[in-house]
Amino acid sequence: MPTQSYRIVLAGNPNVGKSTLFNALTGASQHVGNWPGKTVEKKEGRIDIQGRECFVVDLPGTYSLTAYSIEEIISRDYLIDEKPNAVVAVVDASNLERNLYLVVQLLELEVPVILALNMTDIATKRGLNIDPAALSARLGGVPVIETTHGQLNRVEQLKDAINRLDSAPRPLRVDYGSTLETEIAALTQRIIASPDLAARYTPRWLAVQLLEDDDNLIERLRAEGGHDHLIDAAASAAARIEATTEEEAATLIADHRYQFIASIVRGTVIRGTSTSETFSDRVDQIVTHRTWGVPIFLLLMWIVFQFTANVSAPFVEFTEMLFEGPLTRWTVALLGVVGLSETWFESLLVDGVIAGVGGVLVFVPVLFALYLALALLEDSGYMARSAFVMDRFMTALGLHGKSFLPMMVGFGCTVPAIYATRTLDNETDRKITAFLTPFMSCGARLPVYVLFGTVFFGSNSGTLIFAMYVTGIVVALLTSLLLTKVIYRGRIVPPLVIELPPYRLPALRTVSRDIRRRVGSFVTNAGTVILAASVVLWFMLSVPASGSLSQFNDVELDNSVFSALSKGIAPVLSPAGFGTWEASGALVTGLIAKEVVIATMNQIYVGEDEEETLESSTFVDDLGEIVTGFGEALILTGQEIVNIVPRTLNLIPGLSLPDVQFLGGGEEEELASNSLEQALRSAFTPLAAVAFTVFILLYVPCMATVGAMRQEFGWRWALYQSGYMLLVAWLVAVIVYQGGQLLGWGVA
Amino acid sequence: MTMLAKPIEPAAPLPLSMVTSGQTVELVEIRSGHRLRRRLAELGLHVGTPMRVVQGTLRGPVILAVKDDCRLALGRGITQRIIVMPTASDKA
Repeated sequence: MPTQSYRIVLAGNPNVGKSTLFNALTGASQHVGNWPGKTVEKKEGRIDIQGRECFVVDLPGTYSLTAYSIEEIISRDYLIDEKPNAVVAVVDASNLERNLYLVVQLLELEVPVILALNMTDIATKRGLNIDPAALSARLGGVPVIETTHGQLNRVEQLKDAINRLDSAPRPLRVDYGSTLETEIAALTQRIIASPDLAARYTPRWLAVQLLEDDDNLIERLRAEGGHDHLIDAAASAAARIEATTEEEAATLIADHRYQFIASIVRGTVIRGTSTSETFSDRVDQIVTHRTWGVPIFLLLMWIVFQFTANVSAPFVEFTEMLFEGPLTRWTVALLGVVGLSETWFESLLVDGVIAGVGGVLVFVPVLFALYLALALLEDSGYMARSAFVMDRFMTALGLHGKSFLPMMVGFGCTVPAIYATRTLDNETDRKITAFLTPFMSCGARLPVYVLFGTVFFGSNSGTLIFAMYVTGIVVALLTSLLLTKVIYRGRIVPPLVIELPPYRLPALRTVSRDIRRRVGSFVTNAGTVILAASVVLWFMLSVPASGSLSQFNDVELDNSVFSALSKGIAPVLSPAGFGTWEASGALVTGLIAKEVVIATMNQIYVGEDEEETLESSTFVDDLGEIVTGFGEALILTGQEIVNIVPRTLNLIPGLSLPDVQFLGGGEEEELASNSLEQALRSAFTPLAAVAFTVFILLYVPCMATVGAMRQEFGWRWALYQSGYMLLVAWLVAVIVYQGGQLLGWGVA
Repeated sequence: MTMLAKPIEPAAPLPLSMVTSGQTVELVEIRSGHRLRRRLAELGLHVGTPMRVVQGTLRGPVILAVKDDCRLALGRGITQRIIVMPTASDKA
């Protein structure tokens, strides 16, 4: 055996406890990364077996070596290309026959297999008793190790089995019957005759896969080049089989494999009196009911939405306070010590970097709350059911059942909504869904509607807000139809086929790991985009468009490069009724994040004379503020969690329970100064104000969204989406303004 | 809920989408392309597989207990193309 790196892989169906076994095997030595060029998680670790260093890889869950999804392609390619020294096939004992399908394929691939018999406790509970020795014997001597959680010495036994594993694999022969065997033999001969093929692939396995018409593998062979004759020969062999047997070769192969499996299971498994209806079945009879399923789903989504928007709010405010108060003061103080006080560098750090990056980091509590809710739904087993419940509605739109969830998440925040599309298996479905999510009006856009609503419509502002949400949904539905019925016309929505794991209590470890990873990737990825954008914007606001550079950082606002740029954009927006450089400027900064829109308007319309002077405070004061702020945020979070109950019950018509207040009455947040309201009234007509809010709703929500799209789908898609949103926003805003004028609205 | 007539004569094959909750059936035929048929086989659904409908929604998606070992949810696009034969269930 080569002394160089000894490679072990864990392979198996999804939801068989593979990750848990991987964790037990590798302990703290594991490393989580991504497969090259993919967003699929790659888990690796190192272990020591009898002084030999071994390299362990956890392959993504797969049902078969015939690959469909990205995960399955990764698993298959790794097994073929890397030729691991040992393959630990993790098997769910309570679903043995289906799980053995993959094991049979692995044995046909002639890789050295160890069978890890997992979840025997669940099998026993269902009255299934499996004899490991008999199973091993029937599989031609493949080692069978019981690895159920709690099994004594399971890791040691597994390591021992790996250590003693015969390097010469025992090929397993499924008898496919004379008609197929003749064709398989002929194809195998052809493959052996081609030395480079025989070196890379197991000949008999490749022959069977080709007869099964494994499209992805055929694609792979075509890409390698020079195998067209073989592929054609396999196709005509499959046609001959179908002509003689009147059955498709693929069906016959699957049937023979199951017959073979049945012969193995017979005599190794004793089925006792099984209780056919499980706890999960009884829950599903209510939760996925044809009448109750949808209302229950909507109720849960409402709770997730409440949780994300309100429960995180106190910590959002706390984070804001942290950046605007102590952090800014400390930076200013530190720069003062170094002698950089009142310089452009201070302005860059405070107005550019801290304000910009801080503006994004305040989203961390929102994401934390959202990912917690999602992880709970996912780990409890409900997520898989929600796709089933929404399947009918979504297929009518040409979307997949699972697309509904990211869209709901989009009402909270677009960035996690784009990441939430990862729950979809099909790449095209993911792209379409991610393309639609920004039209779901996110929480950051709401303050702009509120401001314009109160300024121009007073007590009727609620109507404007509601209209914006509805407009967003309508645009999303129309975009969906455009994508699914025109651009991806003729595309068959992959039919929904998912395994439903049994309901269970979410594991704290899985949930917290999920949250840490997802929030971490947001901070690093969106953070870098925002940092760059903030610095660029600061320079554009500081560099004069004309005159000498000595005015740097001391430039009149409407002489900055930024205003020059805004003036360039303004004429494009005039058909929509807001072609001033101030409005354009607010929209340009709004590209960074919608939170910035009102801040920019305050700066441009009201000017800097109202700029708050930094109140001096001592370091101890600041620490005190942080501690009390944190405590307050904790209490308010508790309050918001409790308030989900009355707010949810209030959905029942006629019921109106008050919210709980833990810290006395909260003061309403002041959105704008009176001077801004007056300035807006003279700058916009009511009709132009509506067109402006429509534009805010429909154009690129924030740089973090573009960053998330780029991370998930690449620059091309991120730019397509941004371009499309700008175009749609402009079109709809123009239609609103011009149409309104024709009807004689908003002129007064 | 409508009254369900007790089948006295031998049951006829029907699409899976028409089967009501609680009924046990056996898979007779999958009327689809070989790709989908192969995938279903890998998930444990092939001709002759005994299964129980956990949640039938009438013309919609279905939740199945396959061989009593695992639960599969199938969308309405497929359930109309899977033909099954009702079997006498041992438990009502």
